[in-house]
Amino acid sequence: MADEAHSLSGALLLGEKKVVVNMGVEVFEDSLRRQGIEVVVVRWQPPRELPQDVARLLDRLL
Amino acid sequence: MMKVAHLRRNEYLDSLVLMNLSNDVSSWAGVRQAVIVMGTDSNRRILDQVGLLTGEALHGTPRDLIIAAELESSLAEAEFMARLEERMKSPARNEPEAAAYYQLEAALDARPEARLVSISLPGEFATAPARAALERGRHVFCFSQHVSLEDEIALKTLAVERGLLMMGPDCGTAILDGCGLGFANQVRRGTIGLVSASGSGLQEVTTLVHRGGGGISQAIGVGGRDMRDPVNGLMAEAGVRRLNQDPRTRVIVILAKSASPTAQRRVLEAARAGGKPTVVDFISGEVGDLRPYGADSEDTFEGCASTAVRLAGLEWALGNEGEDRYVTARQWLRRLACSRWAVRGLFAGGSLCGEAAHVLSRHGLRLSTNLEHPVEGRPPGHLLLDLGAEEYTQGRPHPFIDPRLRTLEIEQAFADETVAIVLLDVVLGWGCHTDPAGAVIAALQRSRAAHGQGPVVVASLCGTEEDPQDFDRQRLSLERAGVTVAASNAAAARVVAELATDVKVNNG
Repeated sequence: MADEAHSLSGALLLGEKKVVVNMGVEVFEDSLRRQGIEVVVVRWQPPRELPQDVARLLDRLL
Repeated sequence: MMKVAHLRRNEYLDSLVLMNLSNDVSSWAGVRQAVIVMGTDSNRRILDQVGLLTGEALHGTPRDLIIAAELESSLAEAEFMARLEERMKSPARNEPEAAAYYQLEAALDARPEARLVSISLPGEFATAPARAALERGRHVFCFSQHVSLEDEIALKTLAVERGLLMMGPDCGTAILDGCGLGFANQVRRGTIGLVSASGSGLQEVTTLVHRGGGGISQAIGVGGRDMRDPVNGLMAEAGVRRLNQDPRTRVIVILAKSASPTAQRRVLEAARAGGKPTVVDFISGEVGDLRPYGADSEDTFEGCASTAVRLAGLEWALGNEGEDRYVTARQWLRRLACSRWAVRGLFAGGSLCGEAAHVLSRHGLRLSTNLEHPVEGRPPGHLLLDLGAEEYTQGRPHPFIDPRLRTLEIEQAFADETVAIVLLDVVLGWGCHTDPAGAVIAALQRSRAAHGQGPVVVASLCGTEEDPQDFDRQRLSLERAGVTVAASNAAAARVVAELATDVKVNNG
């Protein structure tokens, strides 16, 4: 019953507050905002490539 | 004239930001051309084609930003780079920077009410955040392509274990609780639920349902490979089970390209267990025996939409346009040079290309396409191209956003003296280009100026009057430019099939 009330209110998958986390293309952030969705932005940069010997050392330590 | 090539190691900007930047910088006085891209193989090929793969650009990797330009002697390299620095610093983002996080885990811990993570990173970097999100109990919408099949299966298995949706990788669109993700259209809410392994198919069906008088409860995208072997409908089955439990959903529509027999059985059994009327379109694939499952099978998106609307107890309100609308196209065709006889389809939507290929083949046309394998050069005869295929999009925005590739292809089709009919899809919606009809019209104007009246142009328009681009205005401007606009993608393909028969008759 709780499930039914939940989905009939229109919040089956996004949750009551309709908040979406966006990682990547900025145009999708804008689209979500324009639809009244709150967007939590995660800024991303490619991981730095480590020299192989440093990477191997880190792998061993971690 | 001077060529400039700079590399910025480990610096990332998304492809749309880079497209806008390249366009802007190319318009500066003293700049002959400028291309600013990530150093993927396909981008380096493009740089090579335009003569800008020189100096540091030769050593770029997909992690690096390449700045390549050709300057007039009036603009010094140092001045150009200084201006570019300034331009790249200018704030392109609207939200206060305090709202941004640098770690997904931190964002999810701080915002427990966020139930979904949308990921559109380069494919090789998408798996780790998708897994982190699922492990923290969030649904994932993953737009990224080029994720390995092993990762896709592992992520979807994890999602099923946790009772979550892993939409994608390679998921172009979804509409959840009335909210459009990726390239989605603004449609009425209603009682028809979709599970789709086809992004443009989902857009075509949801917009036709809307225009036909129905509405959408949920439209769950699962990614282009979900219904194929070896993923075999792992997430499509989970999606159907979701819709079974959703009291708002009264009718279920399932869409997939080339679904494997295992995947077909799996989703149909899940649908039968839910007992809701079900319509399937296994686009251009072998369809197994559906009788044991009681599902309706359609072979066009428009057929799916109209059947679903009727099953929802509504009257289908979208009529077929009368034949008279195509009179202009027929007259145009009669005036063409005899050498012109072939059809050239230039599609932004992969499944729209697949559907058109299916309709045209059914009418007896023999076609080449890039639907299964990339095409070498331009084979003679009827040719349909999906310009959103992987060979065109690595490190570049999708043609729904970036019309440049199709503009070039339209010009080539006009220059090719065998092409009689150009078939296009014009796709509206969130995330798409702000004026896709305008981009097509600009390409047509340029092509006609260079090559005369040229081929007949037929298009379908995928969208609704509630989309940000305004469906009616887009249609009117296409029609004013002499484009025949059909009521759906399948209808456009049928018109083209008839016109192609006329050409054959005219040419004796």
